[in-house]
Amino acid sequence: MSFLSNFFKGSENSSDIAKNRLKVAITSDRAVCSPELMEQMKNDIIEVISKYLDIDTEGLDIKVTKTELDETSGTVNALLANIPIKEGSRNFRRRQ
Amino acid sequence: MKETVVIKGTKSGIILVLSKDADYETLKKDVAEKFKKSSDFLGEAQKAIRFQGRPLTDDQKLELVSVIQDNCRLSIVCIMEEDEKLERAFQDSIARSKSIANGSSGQFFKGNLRSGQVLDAETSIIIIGDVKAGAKVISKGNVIILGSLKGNVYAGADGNRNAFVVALDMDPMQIRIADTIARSPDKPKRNRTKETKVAFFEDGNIYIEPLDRDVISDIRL
Amino acid sequence: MGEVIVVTSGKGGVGKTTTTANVGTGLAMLGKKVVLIDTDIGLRNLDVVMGLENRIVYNLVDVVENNCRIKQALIKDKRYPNLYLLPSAQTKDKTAVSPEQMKKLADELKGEFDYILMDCPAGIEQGFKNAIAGADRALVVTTPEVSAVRDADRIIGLLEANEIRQTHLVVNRLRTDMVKEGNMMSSDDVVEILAIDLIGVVPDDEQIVISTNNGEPLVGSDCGAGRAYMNICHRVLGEDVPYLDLEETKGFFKKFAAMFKK
Repeated sequence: MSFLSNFFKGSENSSDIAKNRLKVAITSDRAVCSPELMEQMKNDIIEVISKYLDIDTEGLDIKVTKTELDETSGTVNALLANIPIKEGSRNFRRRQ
Repeated sequence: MKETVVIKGTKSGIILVLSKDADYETLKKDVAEKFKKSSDFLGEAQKAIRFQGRPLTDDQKLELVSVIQDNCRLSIVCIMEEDEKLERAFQDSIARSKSIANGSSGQFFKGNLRSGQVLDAETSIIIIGDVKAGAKVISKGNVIILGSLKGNVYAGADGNRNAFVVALDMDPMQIRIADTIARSPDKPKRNRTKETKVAFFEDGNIYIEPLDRDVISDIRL
Repeated sequence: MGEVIVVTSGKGGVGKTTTTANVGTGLAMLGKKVVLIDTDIGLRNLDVVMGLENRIVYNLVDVVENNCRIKQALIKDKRYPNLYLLPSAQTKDKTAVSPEQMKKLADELKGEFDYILMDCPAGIEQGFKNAIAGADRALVVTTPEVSAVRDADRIIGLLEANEIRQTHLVVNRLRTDMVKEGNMMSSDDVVEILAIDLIGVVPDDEQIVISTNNGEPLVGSDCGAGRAYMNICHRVLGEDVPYLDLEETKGFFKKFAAMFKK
């Protein structure tokens, strides 16, 4: 399946489209911050991290979610960033 | 619960309506409580008082006046005796409003009544239009619907059991006449025909029958 | 001491009322004493789904305004003597009742009933606040559609904010054939997005339409939705019930036809 969907790039099936759109919409709903702002923040993060690492900007995913720190403090908002590093760049870049 | 003590205001004074069922001692307590509660509303004034609803001795009247004065800021300057002429005028007007409710007077309403709408009438009412499911008509007299009845009707809302309901297409959710409620069957009839029917009260039940000559001759206005 | 469960969704038309009717009826079938409360003032519907619309004399607003006693307004179900409905008013609007009054009512009913199910109106305004006021737990109903799931997420947030700790998800109107084709999110997809515990998946079933027409909830009957709703009832009671293979709800003939399509 994944092979096929890669092959016909852009013809992703509609349930995946729904899922991805929802994730974005819900993330911004929860964050109480606009998608534009999220996009800006994402770009800034990419800019900073790219100084040090060769990262996969396509696969990068950031979101604000509720998470439980410990049993006593209840839920808090947290910024979660999933930033894949491109293969073959195991080492830190030298500072330019 | 029925109130044992009712205060009515007139221009010059107050009328105190007392239940004839309650015993005098409870009444006295209720009067005290009622005036205490209404003290702010009644304010500070000089008023005449008239007792209604039950016979009282002169001593009882004086005692109640002192109870009233102890519990609010009114001062009662005189006790008026029952005025027979006034009483008769009252009774005449009550009788007149009853005859209206009994069906000899009516109003028209044109239009459809839809779910959530309520039409409340003091007299009999003739509706030119439909009463849809979820709509409600309340009348102290009769209800005549020149259209279909799918909603609720409450005829004889002040207790008149002679009230009736007529509809060109009789398919009501509920019909209530005076204190009796009839509801539609749970399983709707498959081959229901549109037919002019009348709903009326008899022997503790509500009957719905085609509006034929026999039924019409039984109708009492 | 009874438990108050609010059935809510945010978006309208996803099956809150159908779920309330079926879960409530199912719990009554399992021997519990249940009352269903329609909190959608001005747009009542639970009465017609239960087939009890012709018995309404008093309603929720009458109870709250003390025009009648609670007992007078409760309508006994046609089929199950331990199931009752407290209908909503059709002629008032949602401001006729306050969350404090609803909480008081729920607390009173807790003494008498095992389960009190609140059918919540769509939206997040006063009607929603009324419905959740006395709730101990919540069933969030959604369909596998973007609009419904997004609204469900908002609702879950609001339930958390109102300290309703136990919140379960019902995925309604799932079509296995479309999930397979990749044209509908699966219940797993929805659970992944909403991140709350699933309590049931109800297949899209034309029997639901028929049951609503007749005013008789279909829970427990031999069809996909009937079985799914009964399973939800068992899970509400805390029993561990395996999930239905929704595929099996299809008839033999349909399966046969499906084979040919491929």
